[in-house]
Amino acid sequence: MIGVALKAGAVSLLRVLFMGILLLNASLTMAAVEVNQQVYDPDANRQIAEFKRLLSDPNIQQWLLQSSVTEASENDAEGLKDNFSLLLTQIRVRKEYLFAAWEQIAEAPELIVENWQLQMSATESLRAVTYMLIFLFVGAGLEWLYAQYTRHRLLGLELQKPGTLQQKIRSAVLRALITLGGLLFFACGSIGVFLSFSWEPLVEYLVLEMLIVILMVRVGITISRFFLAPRLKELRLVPFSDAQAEVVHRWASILIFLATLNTANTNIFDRLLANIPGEGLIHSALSLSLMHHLLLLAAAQIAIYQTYQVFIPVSHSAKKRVAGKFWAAYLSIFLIVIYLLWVLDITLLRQSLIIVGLLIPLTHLFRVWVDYLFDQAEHEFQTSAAFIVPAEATENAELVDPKESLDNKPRPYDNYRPIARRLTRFVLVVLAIMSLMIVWGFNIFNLSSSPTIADKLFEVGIDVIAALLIADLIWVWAKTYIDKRLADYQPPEDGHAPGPEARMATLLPLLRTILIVTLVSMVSFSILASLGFNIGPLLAGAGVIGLAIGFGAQTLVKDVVSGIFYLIDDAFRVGEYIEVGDLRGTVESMSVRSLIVRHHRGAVHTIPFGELKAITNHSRDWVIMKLEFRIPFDTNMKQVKKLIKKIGAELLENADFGHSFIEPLKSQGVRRMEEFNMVLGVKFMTRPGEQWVIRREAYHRIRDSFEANGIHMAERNVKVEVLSDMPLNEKIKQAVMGAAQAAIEQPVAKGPVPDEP
Amino acid sequence: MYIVLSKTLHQHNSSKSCELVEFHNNSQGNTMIRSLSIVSGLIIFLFVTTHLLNLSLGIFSIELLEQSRPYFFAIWGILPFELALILSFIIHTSLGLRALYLRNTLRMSSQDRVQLISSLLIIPLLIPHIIAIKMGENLLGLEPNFIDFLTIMWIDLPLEGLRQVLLLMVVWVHGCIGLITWLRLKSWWAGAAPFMYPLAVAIPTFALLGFVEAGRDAVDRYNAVQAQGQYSSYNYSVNESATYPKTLQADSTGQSATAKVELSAEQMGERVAQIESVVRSAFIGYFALLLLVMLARYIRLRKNRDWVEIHYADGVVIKSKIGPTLLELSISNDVPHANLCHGKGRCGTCRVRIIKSDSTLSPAADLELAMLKRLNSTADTRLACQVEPGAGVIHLERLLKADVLPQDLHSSAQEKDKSATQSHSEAST
Repeated sequence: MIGVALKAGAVSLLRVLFMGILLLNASLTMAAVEVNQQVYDPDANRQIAEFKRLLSDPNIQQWLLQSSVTEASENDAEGLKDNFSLLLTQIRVRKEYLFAAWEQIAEAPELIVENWQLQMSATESLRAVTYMLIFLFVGAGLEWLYAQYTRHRLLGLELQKPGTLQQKIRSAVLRALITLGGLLFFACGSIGVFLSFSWEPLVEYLVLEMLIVILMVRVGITISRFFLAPRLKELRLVPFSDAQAEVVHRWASILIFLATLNTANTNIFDRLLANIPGEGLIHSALSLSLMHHLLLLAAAQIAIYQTYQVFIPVSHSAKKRVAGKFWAAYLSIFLIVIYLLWVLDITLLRQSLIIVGLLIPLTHLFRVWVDYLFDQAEHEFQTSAAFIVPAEATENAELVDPKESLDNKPRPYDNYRPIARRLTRFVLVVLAIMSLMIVWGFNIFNLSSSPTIADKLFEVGIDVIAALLIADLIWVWAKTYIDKRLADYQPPEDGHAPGPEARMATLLPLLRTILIVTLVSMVSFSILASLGFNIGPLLAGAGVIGLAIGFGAQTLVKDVVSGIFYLIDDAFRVGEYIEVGDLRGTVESMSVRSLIVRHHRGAVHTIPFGELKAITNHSRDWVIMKLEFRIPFDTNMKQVKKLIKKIGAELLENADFGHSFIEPLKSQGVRRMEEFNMVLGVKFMTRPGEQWVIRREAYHRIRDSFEANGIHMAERNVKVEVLSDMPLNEKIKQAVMGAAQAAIEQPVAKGPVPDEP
Repeated sequence: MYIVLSKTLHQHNSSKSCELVEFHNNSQGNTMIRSLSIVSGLIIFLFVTTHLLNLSLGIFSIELLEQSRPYFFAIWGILPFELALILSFIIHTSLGLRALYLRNTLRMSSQDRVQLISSLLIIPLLIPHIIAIKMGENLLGLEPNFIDFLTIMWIDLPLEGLRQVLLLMVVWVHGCIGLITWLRLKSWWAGAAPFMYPLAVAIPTFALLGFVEAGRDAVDRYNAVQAQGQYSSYNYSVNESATYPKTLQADSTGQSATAKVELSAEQMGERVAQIESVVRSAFIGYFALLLLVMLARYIRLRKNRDWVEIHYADGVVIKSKIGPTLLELSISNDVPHANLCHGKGRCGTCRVRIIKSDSTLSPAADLELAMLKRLNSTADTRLACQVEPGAGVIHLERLLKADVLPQDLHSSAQEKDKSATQSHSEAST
């Protein structure tokens, strides 16, 4: 547990800065754009009009079309060199700007204030501040109002201690939603009042920027609180201690605030500069943004250091400590490099570096976090299952090794863990690719029409990566699932009926192979297709071959396919006694094509699955066994009933097969009357396979019990009534017997008792 | 007003209402001071409310605002009411300073912090407003009216406008917190609250919007006047321009634009300077007073250097410097603790059972004893907001859940007490 916490801790440095860096990126971009576009031309409007006129000229259009085609072919050879020299020129220009900015750094604020006052009088500024105060007050008032109705709910959420991870996430989400609802009210109130005032354009811009800063910072802090919950250990979604969460949350808030403020400042300068032409102001704006960004960088560095300080002392393993050190150093150097690149104004490189540089730690971080969540869920499951398990454990105590049962804690979410990991990685990589494309100026939805080799390569690369990622995702999910099922499968011990998992053991490896073959062929086809190969002939060839094989191996395919369906139907399992047509016996084994059944007298039948029609399975769930006894008409039925009930109770107590009873032995009373006797019905219900032993014992005991209580089994007898008082001599007796012979020799009506294994 | 409220509650099931205790103990010092603070605060709040309602009319027009002013201020012009207002103001301020002096810790819940900071801000924000109105009336002979003030605040002295807006916000927030903290313990409040809360937001919002609308109206008129060229040389210094609105008003009411005020410019400047010096000395006086109070508080608390350790029954342990009350210690250490009246000893929701303690607990005052008696509490129960623990270790149990609602208190106060006493007896046996 501590290990996980530490790992996440060391990496959490990254998460803190995630937001900050994103915003930094945004602000840097804006600053760069600002500087690039500052070459103000008083004639711009006139020139633009001219340019528009030229563009609408058909001759010009044709010329443009032609030159673009020729340019495209030249572009590749000259592109690299051109780009490089362009970069150098850019850096040179930037250097001059930087020198100028450095010289002006002292008077920059003054200059900006001066220009500000040119734009707006002090009265107007003060009025703007008044307006702003008013609309913030109204916004805050509405939020307060909202809080009055939701506060008790919020307090309840914060006070209840969630037991499970699900409850925890639910409470955290609800809490964040309630907070965001308040924020919405604030935004509605303040924006409503903001709209009801009329503003000067510049003031409106300024006020809007401030409003955005306030809202962004509050949303950011709410998100940070959602994960970190610095004051509520119970709702924390990351494995941090109170102190750690506190520090991380504080720095996240500070960085979010600084970054948004920076963005707003840059935007405002931008706006100010757009209204006032002049070289001097550009430089002072640049020097100010230099300072701002330096400040942000310093804050980020302090944040990294402080977070590092909070996390490192608690980590015990040297490896984790090294990892923590590595990530801290990585981040701090990363930020410095980004800052330097910004200072030199190499936009493309900087943005790509940001994306790639963040992708690696973020992937790692999310992996750790997903692991942590799964650990939590599993831990909860195990602790809650601990109350249920012992009942079963005592039953199976003899079967399961105690040591083994400790290791075999239930891990219900293990299937999903690798999938969740892959999925987060997948999403992150896709996001990174998307942003890289945006940065590099590729139009994602328009790639097919782009003719250059670089574009083509890029397109192919994206196709390949997407195909591989998706195939990987599917494969990992299927493999985890199948492997888990196979690992859980325990082959039945001798003499025990196999569970329903037995068929899976046959089926799953087959499925796995089919899946990997399908995936590999599909991915390779799609890669080939994206490379530009025509895969039509390949597919057709595969189709023809498949057809040929299909015809040739028609029965084989039929066997395999119907085998799979029998397995899915769970019609029989290894070890069950089944009846197929005339054949009957115990299922010994199943192959992909056929089923091997052993008759109870030893003969082995091999039946292809394709030949199977109706199957009777004698080994499922329960068996009812009915016994019949012929007893004389003068038998006391009450006594019989009592005796059988007693025997039923005795059999239930039997150590060998007592547990096999589902319903005990009981008398069904007289089933029918026959010529010379009554037929007493007796039945019982047992687990399949146990009925024979029980029947034997039941016969035995009932007979003994009847004997002991003077009930004799009815015997066939023929009474011959001789209507004479005279003593019969031997001859006459012979004659009488002869006459009765016909009655004696009547065939026995009932057929034999069915065979048994 | 207060007595009336208590009487109505008397007709209720009297044993449940918290106010009854106050009513009975009115003669005792602490309780009386609290009642005094509430009554004075209520009077001021009433005044502020009428003032703001008046200001809301500015949404329609500046004339309506001005014409309705006498009606809104009618009662405050009558001597007893005016006197009561002034008296309330003085009493409430000094009681606030006294509370600051008696405060044990400056770490507190965010609501209490807002309440304290807003109370400290009110006076410096208010001084220029009051002095300008009163002395302007007496020295310069200016009758206070909205048109003048709005013009000054929107055109001549925008900083004053900003200060005024701030003052409005701070006063309203302070008043509402005080009022709601007091009202939430009433049995009828739970039903009325959903209708009262919107009012608390609507009144200042409309007042501010009225202020803005009327101010923009004034600015438009001023611009129109300027455009006519009648004020070609508008370069009054900030304070001298206080005379200007008069003429504007005259102008807007159709009289001669060149009407002169009675005072000469020299006299005017003199008196304005006089006003300024009064404002300045008022500021200095206030801050000196505040400093003095803080100094006295520091001297009072200087001796608190020892540590107290509190073990709660649910396993939480905190350690803190002594000096604050048990409730303040809980709050400053993020331990949830019910306190509906914010540590005023009025609600009894913060009561705790002392399991064992080797520190010296401050003895229960009459107020606490009365509350405990009313709640039928056992001998080991104390009000956390009244007990100041000394150094040592205390084991205690919070008897009410931290998210208790006022309506719970009224509906099942007795049952809870019963169950609480039951748990006591179980625990002791």
